[in-house]
Amino acid sequence: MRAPVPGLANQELAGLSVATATADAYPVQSARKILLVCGPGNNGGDGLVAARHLHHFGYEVSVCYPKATQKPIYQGLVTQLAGLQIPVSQTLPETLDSFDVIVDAIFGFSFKGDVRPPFDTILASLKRVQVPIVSVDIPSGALLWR
Amino acid sequence: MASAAAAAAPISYLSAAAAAEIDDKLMGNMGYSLDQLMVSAGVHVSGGRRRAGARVLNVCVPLCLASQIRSWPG
Repeated sequence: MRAPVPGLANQELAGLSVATATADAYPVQSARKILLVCGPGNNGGDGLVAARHLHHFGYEVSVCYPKATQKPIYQGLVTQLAGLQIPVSQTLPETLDSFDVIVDAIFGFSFKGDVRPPFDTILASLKRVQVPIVSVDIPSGALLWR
Repeated sequence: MASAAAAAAPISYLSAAAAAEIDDKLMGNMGYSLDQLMVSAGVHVSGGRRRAGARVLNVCVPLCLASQIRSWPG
């Protein structure tokens, strides 16, 4: 069974939950700079929503969104980030260690198949980094490496 | 204690025109949808009430109040 594409209402709740869980685990007082790495599907959509809420919570938010999905829901989420001047880049920042927390919103439970570029190198970089990582659903690629 | 402080402070209300203008802005070029705004509004109403008492109920129309509710005294 294919997971249905969630409506915006579900996506909004999921992303808000990611944001509050992240803020509970890494309070803004001690972890200000946060990077969200967003994949092409629903998991990435959760990350885009979480980015907006984390901005409102007071974090200095950056988003890496390499494969923007051409669907109105996702385009709207990106527009909302632009409205808040949240930087969205297609490539991973070189200075990953300058972030206090990284949110991995790349692949979720339903991911299968091969990890294609650029996500192969992105996952490799995230595996190397010492910064704490919060993953949406599960660590991206975990099912492949098990 | 928090509710006593809230009761002492003056309360201002958003006018219908201002509320409509905010909705137009959010759902215009800012890219928000009605679904999203309703979910956010509902969550913030319940969260705000839990945190700070009834006063927050008067102000939780726009999405951007999320940050204010989080830092609301009480």
